[in-house]
Amino acid sequence: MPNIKLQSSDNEIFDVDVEIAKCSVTIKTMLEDLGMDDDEEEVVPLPNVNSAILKKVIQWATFHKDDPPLPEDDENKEKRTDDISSWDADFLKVDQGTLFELILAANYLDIKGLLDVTCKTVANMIKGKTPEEIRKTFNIKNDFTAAEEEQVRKENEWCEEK
Amino acid sequence: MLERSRMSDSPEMDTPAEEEISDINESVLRQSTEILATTTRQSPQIDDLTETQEDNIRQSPEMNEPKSESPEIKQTTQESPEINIMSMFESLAVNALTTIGNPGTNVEVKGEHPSMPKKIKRSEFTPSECSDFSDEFPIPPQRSKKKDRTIEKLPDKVLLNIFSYLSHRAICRMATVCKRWRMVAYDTKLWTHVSLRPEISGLHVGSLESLLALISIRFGPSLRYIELPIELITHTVLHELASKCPNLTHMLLDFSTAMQLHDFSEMQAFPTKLRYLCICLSEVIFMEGFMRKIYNFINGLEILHLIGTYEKVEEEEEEIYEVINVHKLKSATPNLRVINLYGINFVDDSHIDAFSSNCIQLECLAVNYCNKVTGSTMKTLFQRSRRLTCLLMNGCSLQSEYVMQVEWEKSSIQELDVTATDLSSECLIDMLTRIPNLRFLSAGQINGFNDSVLKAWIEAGTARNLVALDVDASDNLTDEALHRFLSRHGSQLWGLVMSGMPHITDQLWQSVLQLLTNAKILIMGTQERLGVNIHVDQLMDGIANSCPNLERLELRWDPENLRFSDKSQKAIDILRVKCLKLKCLVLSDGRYYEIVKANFERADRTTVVRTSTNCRVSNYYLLSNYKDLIFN
Repeated sequence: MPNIKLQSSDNEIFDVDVEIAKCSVTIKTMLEDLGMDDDEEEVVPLPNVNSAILKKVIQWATFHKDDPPLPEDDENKEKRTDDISSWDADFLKVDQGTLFELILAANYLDIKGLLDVTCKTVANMIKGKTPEEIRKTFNIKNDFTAAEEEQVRKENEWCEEK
Repeated sequence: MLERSRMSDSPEMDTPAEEEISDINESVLRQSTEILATTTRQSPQIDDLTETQEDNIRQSPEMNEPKSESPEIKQTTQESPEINIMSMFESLAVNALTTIGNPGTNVEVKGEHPSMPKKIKRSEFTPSECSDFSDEFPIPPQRSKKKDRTIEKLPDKVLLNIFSYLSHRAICRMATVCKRWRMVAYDTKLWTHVSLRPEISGLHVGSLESLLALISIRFGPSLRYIELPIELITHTVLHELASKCPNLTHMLLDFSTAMQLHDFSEMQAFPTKLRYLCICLSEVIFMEGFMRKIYNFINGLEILHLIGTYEKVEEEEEEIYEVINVHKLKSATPNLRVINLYGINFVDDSHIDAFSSNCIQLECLAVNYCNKVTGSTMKTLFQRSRRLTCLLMNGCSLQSEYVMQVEWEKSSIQELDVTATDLSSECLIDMLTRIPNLRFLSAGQINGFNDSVLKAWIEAGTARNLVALDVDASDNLTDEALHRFLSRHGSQLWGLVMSGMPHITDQLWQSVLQLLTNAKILIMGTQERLGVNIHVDQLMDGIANSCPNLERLELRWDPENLRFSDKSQKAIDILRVKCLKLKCLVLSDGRYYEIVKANFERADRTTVVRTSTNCRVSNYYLLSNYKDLIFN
């Protein structure tokens, strides 16, 4: 099985099966553009992903390498968040910072499955919380003035419980 | 002035990754420009606020007193009678302005105060950053490095992805968290599938005017799917949808609570691209006044749902009204592939005949709980519908003689639901041995489904393609017969339901589990009180070791019948760790449920474990038309 070398932003090299690496559309495109050559020691630089995160991404991709391709969710009426598998749930039991780094890596590397499951995880963190609780959880500053806040609240009155 | 500054900002927003959002923002801006132009004309005092950034700063000391706000607002409220529309338009306009990111254009209308002065005062926001702001927007990370707000590192597109998993009610709540979240919450991409039925989505549109505004601004060309409750089904709304939402392909109209039909005599337009239409019928309101206006627009329909009042009716109705004219409807919809007539008290064999006569593309027909259907037109149905692969007749009053007349060998049928239809053993044997490619069978609650049926079915070899079997409450199937069947066919099954039978205990399950290696869906147990105890720990162990592909599991045994020990946590843990694809675990409420829930909670899997009051598992997930058949 041919391998490919992935280089993290902190210059660590990871030897990865090329089929697993290709779950990343970004890497797949890079390889196609460069031309696949088994003899050469191809090193794919990934300046936006550090070694700790890249290691986790590779771990995820390895576990999910035999997953069927994700369906087009054009007709998707309802997006579920309760279909995160046990393995993924355990994999994502990390601190917020790591979770967001994983999201950024999945976004940059264009790995839909990982991006979706990490976004679902964040959505689950948001569900059921009041705006103030969300601000606390994610350390977000409320940049509305009192007047603006009242206005936004009014805009969304139709969404509230009657 | 406003428009000029806005125009100069828009090119800067076209950063490669965020093109889509900026496109949406641009169209929102364009629309809000028109709206703002209107409001500007009406409220002359706004012109003072619309000047330059510097002007805003100058005005800020006066503006900052909250007390001075109220008289102005009150004034303008009195001026404008249609405050609902206006406040929505204005807020959208302000929203649009904030998306540019240039504080100078952050203008409030109707006397409210610009936020810009507050921004200037904050330590992180220096005047030199003003010009950079619009460059960086919508990529905030550089701006918020100082306070290490990690969620702010995420680009808007990703935030949009996260929000897409939230209900619309939650999204509206998110809009109040901060300005960026408000912008993302209003992105039309989140509003492609909208239900305006309060009992479903929690959204109450207050007035028709606000709905029209929403359609035009929030939904627009992104809208694909909409659900309307009776009070919002008017010709004005439908006209607006037809003109503003050209990509609308799915619509649900809920007439079920109607007291009377609105007047549709003036309706001239209706969405023309519909492929999916679901109509929730009322018991007493005749639909012809509405239907005759839309027949000309719906010939592209591929999926039709007519939802009857089966679930709402408590006792037998004396008068049954044929509230919709199926014969006219079928002529208007020749392209139907999927027809779902659910729980409609007047539907009978003639209606099945009507549809089969005109809908030659028919692939899936469901008449669940239409208890007047006897099957007398089934033979012709199959003769005409060469593509029919799925037929669901749960709770129909099927007569065995009619079912046996069908030319099963020539049919393409793969999925069949005859639950609670009281077919005879002779009929079942006849049917099952003649259907060559049956993949899905639901035949629960049939007294005639006994051991001889299973035996004949095995011997004919026609169960070779079976992937889903539901024999819920089949009182006349013994565990030996089931064991024999599963020894032969268990390993090919993805879904197996052997619930509702007191004599089928963990003993049978334990003996067949190692065969059920491909099981995705398992339903076991019965709510009836048993004389024996179910050793649920061993069961969990068995499932964990044999069924790695398990996605949905339901245990229906009454909590009193379950025997579990202190070591139960370990068994549950093994299940959780080995069945990595498990999405749903349903148990009866009780101590065991609490233990399982606690175990899964420790793994942050709170939503996997549910009680049977808020979730049922079913083999229906395995139907090939499952997505098309979902309604309500």
